[in-house]
Amino acid sequence: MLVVRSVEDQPAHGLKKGDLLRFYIVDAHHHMGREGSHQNTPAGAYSYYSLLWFELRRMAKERLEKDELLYEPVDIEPPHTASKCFNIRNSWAEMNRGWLVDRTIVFPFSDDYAKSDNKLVASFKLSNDRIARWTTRSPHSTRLIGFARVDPTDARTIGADCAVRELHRAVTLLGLRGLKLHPLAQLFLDDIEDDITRRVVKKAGELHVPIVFDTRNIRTVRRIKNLIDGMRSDKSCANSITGTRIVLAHSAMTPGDTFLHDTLMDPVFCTETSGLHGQDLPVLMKAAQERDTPPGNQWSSRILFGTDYSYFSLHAADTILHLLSRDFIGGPSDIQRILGENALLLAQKVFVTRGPSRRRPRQVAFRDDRNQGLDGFENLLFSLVRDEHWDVSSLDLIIPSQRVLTSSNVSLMTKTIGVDTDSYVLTLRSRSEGEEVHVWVRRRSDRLLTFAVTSGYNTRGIGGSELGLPESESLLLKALDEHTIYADSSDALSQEVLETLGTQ
Amino acid sequence: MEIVDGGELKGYASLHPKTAESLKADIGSIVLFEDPESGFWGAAEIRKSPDVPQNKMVVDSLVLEASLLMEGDRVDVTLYERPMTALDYVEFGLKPLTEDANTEDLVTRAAESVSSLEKLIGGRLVYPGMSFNWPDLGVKVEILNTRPALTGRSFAKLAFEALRAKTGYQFKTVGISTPFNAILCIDTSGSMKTGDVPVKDVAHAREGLKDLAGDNPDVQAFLDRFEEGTNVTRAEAAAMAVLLYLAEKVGRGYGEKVAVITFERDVSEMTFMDPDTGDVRPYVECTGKNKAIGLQVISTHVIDKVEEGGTLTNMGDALMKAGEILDAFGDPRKPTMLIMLTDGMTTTGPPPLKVLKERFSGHRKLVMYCIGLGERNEIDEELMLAMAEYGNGTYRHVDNMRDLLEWYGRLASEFAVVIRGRE
Repeated sequence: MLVVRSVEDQPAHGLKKGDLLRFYIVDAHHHMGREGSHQNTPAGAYSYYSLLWFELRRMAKERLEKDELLYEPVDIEPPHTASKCFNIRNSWAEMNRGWLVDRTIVFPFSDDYAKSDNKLVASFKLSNDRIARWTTRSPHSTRLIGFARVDPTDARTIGADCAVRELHRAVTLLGLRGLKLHPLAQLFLDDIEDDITRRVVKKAGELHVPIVFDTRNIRTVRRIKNLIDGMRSDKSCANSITGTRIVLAHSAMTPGDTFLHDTLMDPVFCTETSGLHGQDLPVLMKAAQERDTPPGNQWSSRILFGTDYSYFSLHAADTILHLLSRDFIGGPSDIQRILGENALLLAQKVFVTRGPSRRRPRQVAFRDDRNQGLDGFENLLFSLVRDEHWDVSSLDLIIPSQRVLTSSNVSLMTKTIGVDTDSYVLTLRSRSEGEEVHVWVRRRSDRLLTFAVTSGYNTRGIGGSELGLPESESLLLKALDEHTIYADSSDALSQEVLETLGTQ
Repeated sequence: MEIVDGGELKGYASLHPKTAESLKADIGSIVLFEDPESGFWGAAEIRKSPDVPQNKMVVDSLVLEASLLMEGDRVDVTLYERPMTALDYVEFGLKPLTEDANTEDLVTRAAESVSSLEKLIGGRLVYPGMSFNWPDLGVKVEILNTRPALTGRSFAKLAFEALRAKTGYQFKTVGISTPFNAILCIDTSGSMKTGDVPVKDVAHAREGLKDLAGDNPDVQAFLDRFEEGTNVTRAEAAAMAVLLYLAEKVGRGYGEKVAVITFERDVSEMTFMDPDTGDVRPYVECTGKNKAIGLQVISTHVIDKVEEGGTLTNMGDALMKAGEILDAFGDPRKPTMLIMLTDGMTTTGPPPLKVLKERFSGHRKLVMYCIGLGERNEIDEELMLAMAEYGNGTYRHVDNMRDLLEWYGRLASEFAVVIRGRE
């Protein structure tokens, strides 16, 4: 998390000079794998974020001297649960760094190994397998969100449904949570409106996974918009459109274009900042705000922060500093939306694959008078990971329903805006049987914590957007509340947790 | 065998003594390990430890990172018995791991501290993508390139003494690519009309440029000339490389200011009018709302110049003009890349190296790359090398479209000051 200090009083936002804010940052565009001279792995990503922080500090110093910044970046802090997972083993602890960025959406390059020697195998199969291994196992699963990549032109060279089947496999078997499409790299720019692309986009909509669509110019955006409009008027695609979300990567490199911003008014679309820098950023923000009808803060809900590492690197520091500058047209809530919240709302979903799961839901409540309950619980849980009984497949923070920063919720300002690091859902996968369980940790008040365990089977029914909804809307969690067991000591809590997980 | 991530193990892999025996391997032997499903592979010198289970192999984290393998992967392990490759040259990339290490003089400090690096990694196994931590400097050191190139499953051991006796080694920073200005100097003399550049593997570049060119019929028609399996003229190849460079800078956002100078007997620069202010400038801005217009203007200019062609080759005056444009950029602190492309020798005008030394001596953040296109014996490669060395860049000879575009594409995204080490 990025910790910043307000350099002056900001009464409109309830901030005083010197107040600290914590921004949870999600990188919505990041590559891993190997393509020519580009190679990146989880460890490489964390090293990059460390470097980015060093550069950010250096650049911030220059801009502070010119009085250009409204917030001074002063520190970075790891979210405690993820950091604790990295400290389970010494070899993992070496990667417990680079916490300028807390979560990363990761997808393959056009990898050297994207095409198989076996002409019947879908493009990117091996790449998707590798992304899944990196993103759904400890400790990286607490930091990385994996997206698949497919090549729609496989429909012509391998089989009509080849890319569609690969996407289905990647989401339902591997647990990947989104899709990256690159019309230029896979040479289907002229086929964006063709049935080969439509089938892939339709499948992504049916699976409720977002698509990051590479766009280098506005012509590509026009084609994608035509594709979506065509699908809307096609009855066979009507259901899939409700689940379709498309991120127009790089803001089509034309951040001020009227058509881009008209397209962003369509709820299917949002955009991201990778590759933009310098004057591109104020142009993007201003055009988005001007297009907002009715005027409000919806404009900042359509922009995601992304780095596109390792194609780009320093641009991301420029983006963050623009958001912290006097030139930025929004407030702290807009900053948090762009830096993290929008991406979490788009990509967070409860990790569920088609693995076996038969466990009965159970919830334990604990009065946390000494504020040590969560720490003890996590120590216990991660000891099970260290002893190789369970592996962590995902860690997703629950987004509070009240997340707009105003002077009326000023107390939030010493905490993180937009996310609550004490409330999350963790997916554990049994190493012996492959069973998946979800552990819901929720801080209900300063004194009360609840821990619920549900199986993947139970959770599948509540869909993928649970993490972004107010808690009251979850039927499952509501039912759990009605059948809660109370633990009167931390030992009793440990006992209940171990029993529930069947590792007693 | 299952892989266990051992953390920092100085590049080694540990095996149970019985496992080592079954492989006929001993301490210091090199083993290859490969995931048969993915084909990902790595290699490491081995150590023996009875603490390692017989069905597992504990491998150094950075070795795993280089191979894309990770803990839990199942690999086939074999003994590697072929001889090591002797290296003439190694390019080290430096990635700061601490804030203190992240200074502008990092490459200089690395060159001065090379003896500490030698103690640390001398004798270590090397293959492309391999890296080492260098705690004294607070950096990670990556092996970027070697000569001879280590291709396939061939390895070398780092011997600094041997390197110093040969071409040497060089350091550059990696990991953070800095936005930078650029000046492209393109030879348009008569010999550039020689049609000897094979077109191969340009589909991605051509389609991307076509898409960017939009409805501009001149650019579209120009790009249609690049048909796989045919030859194009050197001038056409150079023009496409410039377009690609611009596309990367403008379209991909590696941004800032780009100028294009064409030279034969005469030297001319592209000019661009700011539609908002009416000011005429010798460069295009690659960010902000007018960048797309800049791309269109510069594309048309380059294609027109290629069609014209000229007689002599005046590299010296082209560099003088580059100096004027550098001043016009108005930001001496911003890094600038100068790329000189030619197929021949300077035949008129002042001596280029002299101009370079006189005109650019005060610009610490200038890097110059030289590219020789076409027949090697027609190019003054000694001059190209000398200019590149003076400009802290490199010289490269190319004779086909794929290599030319790959090199320009890479230069568009990468700015690095290089410090060489050699006795």
